[in-house]
Amino acid sequence: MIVAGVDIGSLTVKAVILRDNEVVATSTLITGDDAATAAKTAINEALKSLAERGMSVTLDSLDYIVATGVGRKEVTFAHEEKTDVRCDAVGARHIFPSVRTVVDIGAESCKVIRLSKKGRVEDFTANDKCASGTGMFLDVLAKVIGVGVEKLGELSLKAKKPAKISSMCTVFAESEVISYIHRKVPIENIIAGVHESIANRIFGMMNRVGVEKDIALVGGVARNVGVVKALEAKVGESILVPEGPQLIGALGAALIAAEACGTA
Amino acid sequence: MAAAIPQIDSVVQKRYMELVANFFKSAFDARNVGKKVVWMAYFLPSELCYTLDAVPFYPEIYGGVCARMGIVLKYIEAAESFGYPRELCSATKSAAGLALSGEAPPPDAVLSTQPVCDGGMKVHEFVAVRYKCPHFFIDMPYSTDARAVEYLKGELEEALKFLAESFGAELSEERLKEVMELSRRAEELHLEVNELRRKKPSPLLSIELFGQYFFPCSFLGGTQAAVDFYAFVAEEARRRLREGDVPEEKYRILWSPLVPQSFLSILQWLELEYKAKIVMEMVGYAPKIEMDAAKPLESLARKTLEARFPSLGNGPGVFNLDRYRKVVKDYDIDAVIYFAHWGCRTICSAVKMVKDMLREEFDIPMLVLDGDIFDPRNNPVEQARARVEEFFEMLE
Repeated sequence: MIVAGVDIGSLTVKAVILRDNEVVATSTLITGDDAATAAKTAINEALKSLAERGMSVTLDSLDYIVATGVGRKEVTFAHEEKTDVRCDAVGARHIFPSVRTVVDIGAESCKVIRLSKKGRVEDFTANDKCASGTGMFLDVLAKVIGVGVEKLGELSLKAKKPAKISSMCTVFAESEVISYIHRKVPIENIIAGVHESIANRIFGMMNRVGVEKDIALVGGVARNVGVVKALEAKVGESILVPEGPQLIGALGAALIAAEACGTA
Repeated sequence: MAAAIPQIDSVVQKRYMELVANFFKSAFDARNVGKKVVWMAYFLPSELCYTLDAVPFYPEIYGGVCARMGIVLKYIEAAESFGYPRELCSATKSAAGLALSGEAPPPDAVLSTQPVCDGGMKVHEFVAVRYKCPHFFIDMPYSTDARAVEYLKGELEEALKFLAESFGAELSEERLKEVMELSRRAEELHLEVNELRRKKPSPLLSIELFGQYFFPCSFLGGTQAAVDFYAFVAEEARRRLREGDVPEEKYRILWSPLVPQSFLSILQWLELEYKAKIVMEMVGYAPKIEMDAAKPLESLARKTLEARFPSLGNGPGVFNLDRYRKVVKDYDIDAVIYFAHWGCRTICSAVKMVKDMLREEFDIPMLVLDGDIFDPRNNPVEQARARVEEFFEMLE
């Protein structure tokens, strides 16, 4: 039984292929302006890696496909669509069975999901009308600072005194960062300050739904070790980060697909 | 960009739209027929005007109609251009914008009060100054006890005298009693409609009245039109129940507190596609109110305090919690959707208190939907749909 989960985010599309409940292939691509094509390409990309390993599977021969993410409704070839809240919960719980709070920071959204002891979604909250605390926020600020977004995490760990970024608004925060640059504040301190401001924002959202241990951080921003450390410091708890945190939504979708086929 | 009013195939909705159109037309036509227009704060009883054969005009409510029609933004932007901040409540700004635009019926007098918020009260004050017309402030107690009723009775009496003096009109006790008898009958029928909405499945959809089942007795209280309307709705509800012609119902939702008039598509989608029926709106819920036309002002005070979610914008939030408890039990609610209106301190600051109580006492989930009751700029439809879908998936 081979199934797929595909997560169409605002920036990237992720696909996870499961064979008898085991992850056998994944892919991550830029979404572009056509969600359905991007989803198809991502699944085909993952299937190509299977073919290289001697497993010949086509998109049409997949037993079940579940789509999630912001573009899920465009994926008309999927058998089912599920919200990212459900998929994040299922995916995170599969990796960390003890998890009760899932924080997902993606390119344009951040969500906090509280789970019951049995893994049922009890409450959630999401950022609305604001890009602060998201990957896009980091992207904008990385460009202003002049470093690659993938280097932000490591650089911030060298900070001696994080700069205070008081504004939650991406536009105003950008002008604060520019003003720090002009004042010759070390960039690692500025980056650490940005991470702290994200952690503050996320911590507020976490409190809105109520924090239960264990806590997992998923989504592309979870790859930024600086954000993880800042959030751990703010929450006062260690945070679980899975390998390939950006794939958790797609993994959850694939697990739901497997369940629909009666294999999960 | 004008948004179409979400219309469904419903005789109730058709009749409601006629009622609302006639109500506002009477204000626009008032001068032509020699009647006075009174700009009224949202929570003030229309009976004060009808007693003196004057016409009430509720600017925030008319702003809501403009929001439904997709034309409210020009009034909101007029207020912002005048100097009201972007962050201020859009209902308040629509009232100010209507006054500034000169496109609303000009007031002959203004009656204001502190609920639903003191920001609104100050805008009404501004309207009176701008139009150089007499202004009376009614001090509304937050409690509903006997002392509060007695106090408000005095305030309403003063307000009536003020209007009569301002208009050179004679205050007739007989007319007041007639108006209050109609008001009592409308309340009674409104209660009957609310009772019918308790049925499982409920025979009426919220979208049929754009979430405003309280409109006739709030703004047409004291008229035959309100009585006839509720009688019609009650009869239609009974017919649906009798004939099994009831809209499908998967979930029973309490919507709280205000229904966004610029965002009705979300209600339509919820009720028609998701079968999540809004069986009560918190602002429209009213308990049985003792009204006696022989004690007209006391009855009017009681109605004003009891009927319109009194402490929504006035007094301690704990008063509201008992009302939530009652509605959740009486209407067998599955979930609550709390519309956190942009710029409203009153509504937004009560979120946690309500959510925690529902979870702890009833294990009922509450979705907090951030948005704006009037301003379409603050209502990203897709985002709201995503939140609602996530919420209902959580209930499954």
